[in-house]
Amino acid sequence: MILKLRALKFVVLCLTFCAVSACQAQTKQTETQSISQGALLSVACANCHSRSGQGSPNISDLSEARMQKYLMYYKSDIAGTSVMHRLSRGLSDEDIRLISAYYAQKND
Amino acid sequence: MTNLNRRHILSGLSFLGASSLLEGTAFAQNIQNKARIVIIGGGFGGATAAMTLKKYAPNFDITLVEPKTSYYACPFSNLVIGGVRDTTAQSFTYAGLKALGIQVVHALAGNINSNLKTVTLSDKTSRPYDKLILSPGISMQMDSIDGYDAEAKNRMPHAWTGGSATAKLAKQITDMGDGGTVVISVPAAPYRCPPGPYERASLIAHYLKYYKPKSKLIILDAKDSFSKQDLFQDAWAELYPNIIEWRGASNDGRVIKVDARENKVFTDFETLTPDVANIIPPQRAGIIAEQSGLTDISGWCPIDPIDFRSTLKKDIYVIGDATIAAPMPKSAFSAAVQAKICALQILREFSGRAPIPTTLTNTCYSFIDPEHAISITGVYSNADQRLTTIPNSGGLSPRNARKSGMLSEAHQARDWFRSMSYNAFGDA
Repeated sequence: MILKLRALKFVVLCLTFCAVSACQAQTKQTETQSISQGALLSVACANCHSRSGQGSPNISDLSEARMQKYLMYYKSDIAGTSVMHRLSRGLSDEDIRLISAYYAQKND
Repeated sequence: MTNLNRRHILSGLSFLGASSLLEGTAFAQNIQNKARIVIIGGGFGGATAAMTLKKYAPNFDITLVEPKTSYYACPFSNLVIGGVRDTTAQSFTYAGLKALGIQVVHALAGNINSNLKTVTLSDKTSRPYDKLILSPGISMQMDSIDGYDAEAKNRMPHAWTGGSATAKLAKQITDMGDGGTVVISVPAAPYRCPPGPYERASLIAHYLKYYKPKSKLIILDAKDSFSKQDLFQDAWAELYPNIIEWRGASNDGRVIKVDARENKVFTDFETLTPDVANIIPPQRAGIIAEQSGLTDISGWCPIDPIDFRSTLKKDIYVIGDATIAAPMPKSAFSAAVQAKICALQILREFSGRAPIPTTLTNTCYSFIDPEHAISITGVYSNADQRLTTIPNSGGLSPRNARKSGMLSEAHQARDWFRSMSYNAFGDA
């Protein structure tokens, strides 16, 4: 009985090790599958600028820092009336950081 | 290690009660090759949902059910009615979706069995699903205006769902003699495209101004205020001062009856005999939503805006105009954003992660003449099971903007249409 229990524990340990390895091997794939907050936030941007950033206007050449700077400018420019001014005012600083990071990664 | 081995190991662990650590991954692995998602409705919402799912999860089995083989877009259709855009520019096929590997079935969706998770189609086939997304658009409340029957719909086309009625209304206006009267009747909210009737009035008035300058356009409105009102009324005063007349609800603006054979339109106190009557009736969710028990007493579909799942049926999601999503307007842009949020949250769920609140936006442009446009924007949170406008955000184009600003917004509008269509239909 004790032997059987030990054997079972060993099997469980082995299975756990294999499964964790499998899990790690799959990390990259599941990351592409798992949807980040940046991806969710960027869907509305993509309606005009496209998912790659190559829509209109084309924002695919913007670096992460530059995009963040532009969005923060739109958000803080009180006198601004363009669509981008009005939209950016609804984004938190964290939203802007995540959107900029998401699009920069798309451009790599 | 093959998928098969991994799945066995994980299912073994699950059996031993050690699955919590790996649950997400196990679910993702199991579901990756066989998740079946059926989408009903091939408008901006449904097509964008299908495209988004296929791009992020190419292995998923995605089926789009849409009876029509071509889609005629509603955004920009007022330019067709105003005689400055060709109908063919509004038409999209589903070839772009098929090219990506999305199964497009041209049939009418019938009975949805939410227990068995199947949809029966008009071609007698039955489609099983793991998740079902409905983007059914709107249907007209045929009984809401006395005398509004199939004949009235034919003679007084609403032209509110794209297609041949748009061209028919355009032809009625071009066939009208100079000195004629066009009536547009606008329903109470909520309805598809809140600023749409007023953009339509602007573009018809533009045509009348140049081709039939003795003519009139009367807007009979079941409301006392409307979207982008100041901007539209400024434009009308400047561009079409003797052409457009707007009557709100408290100024006897509500249409209660029509007589299509006599071409008569009735308000509470007046009978009009216009040359062209564009009767836009009150609306509710597309018919299949009600047939499937997805609507509430309002005629629209209640959803949890975090991922647009129906609050009435499990594993069914509703997006677009059919939803109760105020303050988001019933617009193609909103439908496309909702489609993507819904698709991405479903993918999160398949990878074992809960949906997370996010920020949603809407942007809609309206033409005041063929070269100038105005816009409205909104930014929304979907936290705490409700949609709310984020304070101090969004809003309208400025009043008294320079012409150059409105020229620029018209340019943006064209890009907006091109990009949104591409997101939904690809290169088709």
